Amino acid sequence: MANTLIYLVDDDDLYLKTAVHNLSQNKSFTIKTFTTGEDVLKALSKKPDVIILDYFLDSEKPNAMSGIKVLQEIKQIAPDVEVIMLSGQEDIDVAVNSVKYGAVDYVVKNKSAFIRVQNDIKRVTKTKAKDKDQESFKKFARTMIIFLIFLVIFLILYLIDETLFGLIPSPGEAPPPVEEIPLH
Amino acid sequence: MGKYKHIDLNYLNDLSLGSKDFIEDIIQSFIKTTPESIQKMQDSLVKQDWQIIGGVAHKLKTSYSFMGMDDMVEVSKVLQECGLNAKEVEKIPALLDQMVVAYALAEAELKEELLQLQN
Repeated sequence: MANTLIYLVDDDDLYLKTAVHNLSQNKSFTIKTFTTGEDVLKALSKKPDVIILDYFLDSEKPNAMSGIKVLQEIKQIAPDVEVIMLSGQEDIDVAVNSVKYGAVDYVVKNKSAFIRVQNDIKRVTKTKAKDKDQESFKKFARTMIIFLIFLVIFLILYLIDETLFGLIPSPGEAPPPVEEIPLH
Repeated sequence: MGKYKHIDLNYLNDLSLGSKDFIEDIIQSFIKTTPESIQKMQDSLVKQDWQIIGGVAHKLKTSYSFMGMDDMVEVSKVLQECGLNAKEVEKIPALLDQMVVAYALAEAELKEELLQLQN
């Protein structure tokens, strides 16, 4: 199974430790942690597969970027990166906002949170692999079509050429005389 | 009925997936960070910085849920609401006092658990 690079962003140290402990049980996951949105934005060039992002990143530092702001920036810089939003509260506005700005899911930090996050990651990576396969097939099909077009053009040119230089008789033209070989 | 009166480590045990090191690490982090958080809320109360109280309470909810301190999860929720919306702020001092006492009782049991884990 291919390695999945996961970024985990939360300003709560205890939650980060717990999330890393649970998610790292899956050996195909490589997890990197961040405590601020500003830091994760700087690390987007490494192209993570999934970002698990806390909604309330500015809980203790009002000047810090909020989870929604970070989500918007991620989607602007790297639209292909899937984001799972985490929140400590069941709030319909939080959920609606998360999905509105491009999060693939919104997960409440309750007892089933890690199971749900893992299911989301599996779903996201499966969809990405499928998209990649489809893209590869499209590329292959495009190459084959171009090859066939060239082949047809080549055959047409070849036939025209042969006709012009008399190797193949044109329709209505007598075939070239056949040299008789004396029999012994 | 659990082993302790003020904490319930069943959820933390589930999260640990059988790792004693993990439980120890989380308890130690909780003991280190929770008094700092409570102090931060008390300082913010003096400054009447309700937003900070709400934000810190929001974070504490998760920590208390790991330790099975359901009463404190509820207290944190109320503090969060009061703080972030700057309403019914007169409730905050009593809730913070309640939290200080609950933490002290929990800390004694958590230290006991740590000793058992280390032996």
